[in-house]
Amino acid sequence: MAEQDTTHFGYQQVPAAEKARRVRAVFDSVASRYDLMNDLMSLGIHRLWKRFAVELAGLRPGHAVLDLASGTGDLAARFAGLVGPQGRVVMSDINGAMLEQGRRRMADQGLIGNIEYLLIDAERIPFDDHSFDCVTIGFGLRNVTHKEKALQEMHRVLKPGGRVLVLEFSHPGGRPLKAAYDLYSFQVLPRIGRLVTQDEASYRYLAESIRMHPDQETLKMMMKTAGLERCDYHDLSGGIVAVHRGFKL
Amino acid sequence: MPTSALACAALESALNRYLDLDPDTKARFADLHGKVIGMQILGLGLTLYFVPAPQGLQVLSQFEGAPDTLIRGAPLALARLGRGGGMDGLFNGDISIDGDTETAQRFGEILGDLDPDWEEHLARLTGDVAAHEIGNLARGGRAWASATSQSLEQDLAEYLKEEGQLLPSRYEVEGFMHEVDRMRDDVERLEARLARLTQDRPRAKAAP
Repeated sequence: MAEQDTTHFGYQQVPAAEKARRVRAVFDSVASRYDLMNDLMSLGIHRLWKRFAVELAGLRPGHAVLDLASGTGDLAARFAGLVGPQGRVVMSDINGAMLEQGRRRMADQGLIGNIEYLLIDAERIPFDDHSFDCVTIGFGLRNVTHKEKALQEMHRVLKPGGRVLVLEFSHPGGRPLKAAYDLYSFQVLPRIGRLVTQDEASYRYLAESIRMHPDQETLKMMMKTAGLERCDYHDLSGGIVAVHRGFKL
Repeated sequence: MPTSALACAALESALNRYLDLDPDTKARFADLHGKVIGMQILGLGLTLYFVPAPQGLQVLSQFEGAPDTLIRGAPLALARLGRGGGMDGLFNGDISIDGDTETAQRFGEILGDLDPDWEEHLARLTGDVAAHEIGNLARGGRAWASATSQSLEQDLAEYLKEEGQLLPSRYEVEGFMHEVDRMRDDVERLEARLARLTQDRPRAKAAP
């Protein structure tokens, strides 16, 4: 079937095999200024979204957690604090440049000992079944080519009783908010991108990929299909971002 | 997102900014990595969870497990913890601790010892000489303020007790409390005696 061989890359259709390469190119381009851009684009609110996700992760000292698409490691750094010296945090990304940035940042903050760094494709997680108390992916799922596959893999490596957390841009509810959000992401965002990283296209991709990402209910269904149970989600900032949670029972 | 989560975020960033100014204290907090300290603020129905780590403190508004230690107290008593009061509150009963008391005590001590070297940080901006001058001024100001507030407190207490005769002295209060205690005991004794007498009455009537 021809449809299965293509996928969306922002608003464009590209061969499925090519999406990962294109996404990698986007993040190679923005890696060095990724943190600064996050602060600029979300006006610093991304920190609150991440805080909220961390509280939902329910981590305790001694837990093992896999953070996919860690980027520069905002979530992983908090997890490393929470699981304590006896715990284990696997910080991972599909993009080497991003992971290197993250690794440097962790070391600068004195976070060593309970963190490992791995280049991981979320569709093929190189761990045994039942390895982690928690698997998270923050602002990464929408860049994955086969999301169902990634969710199945996340479910597989989870210990019984463990949980998956997906923090991702989503679809805001109210009409006025939606209009303001569209204006911001298609007019303002690429311009900030051009000023800070000299890369307008990457940030246009960001805005488009958010629109193509499944909405709250659809993602919840996808998580259920992947085998996760008691799935729920919390809208943040009016649904601009949502945290989805599902358990392996 | 609940308001308490926003308050936690604000508190966390303020604490960490403060800790960045005092690297020794930050390092001592890092020794508590792996512990979770709960702080229940009585009267507000709010519990905060402090998670020390090498990069600083995390403050959470919810924690699914049981914290290693839970410190309970009224807002003012807990605030004294962080203002150099150390664990004094524990001895006068303002604060109670559940769980690992050693962790709670260390946490309280570290919080109490938090004392950034403002002069050194200022020196980076203004140079040593100016920073030292400003430091001297500030120290002088602080000493003056502390001495003034102490003497004001004494003067005020003296006025209220001796000059204005509005408040009793400590000995008068203690004497009064003692008398109240004695009166309470006397009343109890009288009550017991009455009870005995009323018990004896039917028997007395029955006797020939």
